Amino acid sequence: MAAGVAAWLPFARAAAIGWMPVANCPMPLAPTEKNKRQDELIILNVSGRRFQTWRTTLERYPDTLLGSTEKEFFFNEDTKEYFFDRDPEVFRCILNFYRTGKLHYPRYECISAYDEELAFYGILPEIIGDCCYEEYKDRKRENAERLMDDNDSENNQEGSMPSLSFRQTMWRAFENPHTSTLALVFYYVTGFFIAVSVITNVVETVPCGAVPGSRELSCGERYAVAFFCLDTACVMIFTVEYLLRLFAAPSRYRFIRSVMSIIDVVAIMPYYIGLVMTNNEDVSGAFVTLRVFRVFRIFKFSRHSQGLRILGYTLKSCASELGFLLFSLTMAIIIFATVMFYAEKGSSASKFTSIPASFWYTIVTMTTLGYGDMVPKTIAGKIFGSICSLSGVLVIALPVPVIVSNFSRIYHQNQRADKRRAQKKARLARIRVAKTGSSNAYLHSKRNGLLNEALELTGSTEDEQHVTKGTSLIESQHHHLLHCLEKTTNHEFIDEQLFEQNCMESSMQNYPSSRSPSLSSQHGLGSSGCSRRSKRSHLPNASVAATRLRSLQELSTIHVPCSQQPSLTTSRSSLNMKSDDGLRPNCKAAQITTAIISIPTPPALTPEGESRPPPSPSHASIPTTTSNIVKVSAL
Amino acid sequence: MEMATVRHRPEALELLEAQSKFTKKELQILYRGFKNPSFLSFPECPSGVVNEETFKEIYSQFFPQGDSTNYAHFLFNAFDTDHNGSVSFEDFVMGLSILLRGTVQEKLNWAFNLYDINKDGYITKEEMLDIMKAIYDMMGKCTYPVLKEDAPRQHVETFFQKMDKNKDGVVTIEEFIESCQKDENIMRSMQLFENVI
Repeated sequence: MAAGVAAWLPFARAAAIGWMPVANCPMPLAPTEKNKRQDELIILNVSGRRFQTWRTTLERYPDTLLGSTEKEFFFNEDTKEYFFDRDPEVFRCILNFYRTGKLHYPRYECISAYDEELAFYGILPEIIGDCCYEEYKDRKRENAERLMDDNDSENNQEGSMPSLSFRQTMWRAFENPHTSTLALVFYYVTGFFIAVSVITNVVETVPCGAVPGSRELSCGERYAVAFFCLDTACVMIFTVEYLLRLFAAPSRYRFIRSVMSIIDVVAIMPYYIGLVMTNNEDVSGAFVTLRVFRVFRIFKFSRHSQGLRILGYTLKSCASELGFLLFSLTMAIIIFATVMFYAEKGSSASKFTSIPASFWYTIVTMTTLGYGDMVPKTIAGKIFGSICSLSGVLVIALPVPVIVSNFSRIYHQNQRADKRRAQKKARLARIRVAKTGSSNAYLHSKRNGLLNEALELTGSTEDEQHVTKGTSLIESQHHHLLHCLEKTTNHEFIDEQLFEQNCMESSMQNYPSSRSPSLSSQHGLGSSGCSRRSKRSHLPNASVAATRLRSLQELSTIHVPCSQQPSLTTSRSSLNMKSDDGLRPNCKAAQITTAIISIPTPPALTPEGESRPPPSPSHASIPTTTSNIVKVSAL
Repeated sequence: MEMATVRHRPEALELLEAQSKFTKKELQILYRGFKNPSFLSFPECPSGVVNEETFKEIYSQFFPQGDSTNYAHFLFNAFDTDHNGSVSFEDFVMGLSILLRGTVQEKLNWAFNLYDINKDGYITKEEMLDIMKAIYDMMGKCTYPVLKEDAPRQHVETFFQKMDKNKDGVVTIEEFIESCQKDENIMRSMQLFENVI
C-alpha cells in the first residue's frame, strides 16, 4: 500500500458502517493491535543534525534499515536517540522518501557517495522517482564507464603474465605496441609502409615530363617498373601483417568480421587481382576501377592514430544525429529543387532542365558553396534561391553541435583514461608507501617498547614518558597482534634495509673468507644481559648514524643481535630480573650508547681468527658481554 | 553495475543478546563496524553480509607485510558455519562470542574446527601444513631470521609430536583438547584476547 494511503484507512473502515445493516452474516472480529503503542516521535541524530519524525512514518517501509528493528543497533541509551555517523545531507533525501514516498537524487551529490548511502539504509535505487531517475541513470552510466576504463587498463597492464602463449603474446604486441620493443618496431615499420604506399599511389598519377614524340606521361607509366616494385613490397608487408594478425587473433571469426581487417583485405586485394588478370583486356576496365580501392590503405592509419579512431567512434555514436541531418537535408533539397525547377521553367536556355538537375543547384546553394555554374534568371527563381541558401545555413548548423559535443566528450574521456593510467603508477607507489609506513610503525614501536622497558627497569621514569607518547589504543592492539604472529612463527618482522643486509651477509658467509665474520659464531655471544623478553632489537638508526661516522672504514655494518638462543618462546621477566640487577648500569649504558655508537665485538669467538683488524674503537668502556647489539665492521 | 538486491536484515538486537554473550552496547559497536567497513577499496559492498572477497580485504589491512589471503580463506570458512558463501552478522557474532566470551573448551573446539579444513573430525598433517603455510605467508619476506622453505613443515612436525598422542598420524579433537590443556602457555594465551571490545 502506498505511503499516504495508509493514513486514510481509518476513514475507509469507519465508512464500512454503511454495509452493516445490509449484511446477512455476522462480521469477522476486528484484529486487535497487539502492541498498541502511542505513536511517538523518534529522534534521528545524523552526525549531529537532529531529525525528528514519527515512528509510523519510518515503519511504512519495513524492509529498510530505518523501518525495521535494525535501527535498534544504532540506539543510544543515554540520549534516547538513534545516532548515525553518516552524511546528513543525503539523509535529508532519504528521510523525505519515508515522508513522501518519492526518493529524489540531488544533482550536486556524488553518485557513488549517494549509492553507498542508499546501500547503508537498505533502499533500492530503483525507487528513485521519475523526476530524478534520468539524471541518476546518466551519472551512473558515466561512472560505470569510468570504472570500466580503469578495469580495462588494469587488465591490460597486468604485465608479467608468465603463462601467455606465443599466440597471445603476439596478439598483445599487435594491440599494444608499447609492450615490447619488437612490437614498437613492427608498428613503425607498418606505418612507414602505409605512408609509402599512399604517396606512391598519389605520385603515380602526376604527369612526369613528356617523352619526346608522344603525349605527356604520368610518372606511373614512365617508371612503371619502379612503381610496381614499390607496390609489390608494400603489398607483401601488408599481407604478412594481415596473416600474422589472423594467426594471433583470439577469435579468428570475430577478427575477420572486424572493420580493420576488412580494410586490410580491401587494401591488398586489387594487387592480387591485378596479378591474376594482367592480360585480359575485357576486365581491364574493371581492373582500373579496382585500383581505386588502393586508397583504402590510408584507413590503415587508424590503427596508428588515436584521434582517427575517436573520430570514427564519434561518427558511429552520432549515427542518429547524422541520420537526421541527412534526412532533413534531403527533404529540403527535394522541396527547393522542385520549386526552382518550376520557377525557372519559363526562362529560355535555362540550365534547370529537370528536377534532378536542380538537385545540384540546391545542394551547392544550401551548403553555401555557390559554384555559379547554374544560376536562376527569373525573379521568382532568385527569390526562391535566396530563401534556399538562407535555410541551408540553418539546417546544416543544427545537428553539428551535437556531433561536436559527442566528439568532445569521447575525446576527453580518452584523455582522462590516459591520464589515469599515468597516475596509477604514482597511486600504487603511494599505497605501497602507506603499507610500509604501517609496518614501519610497528617496528618503530617495537624499538620504543624495548627502550621503554630498559628505562623502566633502570628506574628512570622521566625518560619513560616521552617514549610512550601517543600510540593510540588501536595501534597498540594492532602491534600486539603482529607481535603474537611473530611469536607464533618464531620469526620477526624487520624492515627491507636490514633484510637486504642480512641476505647480503648470508651470501658472503658462503665465501670462506677471513674478511667477514660469520654470523653463526656471533650468535653464541651475548649472555643474558639486557635482553629482556628475548627480543632482538634492531636499531637501524644506530647503524645509519654509525655508518656515517665510519663511512671510510666500513664496507658494511652487520647487526648481530645477542640473545638467549634456546628459549625463544618463554622468557618472562622473572628470569631476567636477578641477572639484570647486577648489570643494570651497564645495561643502561649499553642501551643508550648503542643508539649513538657502535660497540666492538667481543673477544674473538670467531674461528677465523684475528685476521681482521680490531673493529673501530668504542667511545666507552663497556664490557662487551653485556652488549645488546654488536656491530661488526667488515673491512 | 547493479546493486545487490539481497538485503539481509539481522536478527533483532534482543535475540542476538540472548543467543550470544555480548551486551547490547557491545553488539551495537560490532554491528557498526560490520555494516560499513569503510576503508575498502572497491565501492560495492552488499550490506548485511560479508563475502569472502571483502573478508580477505579486511583481514589484509592488518598484515601489510605478508600475504594473508590464504589464512583469511580458512578463517572465513570457520566463521561461515552454514557454508553459504557469506558471513552474516549472526555468524559473525556467534563466532566472536565463542572466541571472546566462551569457555576454554569452546575456544579449543573452535580452533580445532579452524584447523580441520574438511571438517571430518581429524586434523591430518596435510591440513596442518596448509594452515601453517598460510600463517607463515602472513609474515612476508622480510623476516629475521630469513624464512626457510621447510619452516612450516618443521613446525607441523613439532605440533604433531606434541598433540598426536597415539601416533596415528592424525589429531582428534580429544587428543587436541587434552594436549592443549596440559600446555600452560596455550592455556594462558587463550585468555589473552578477552577484552577486545
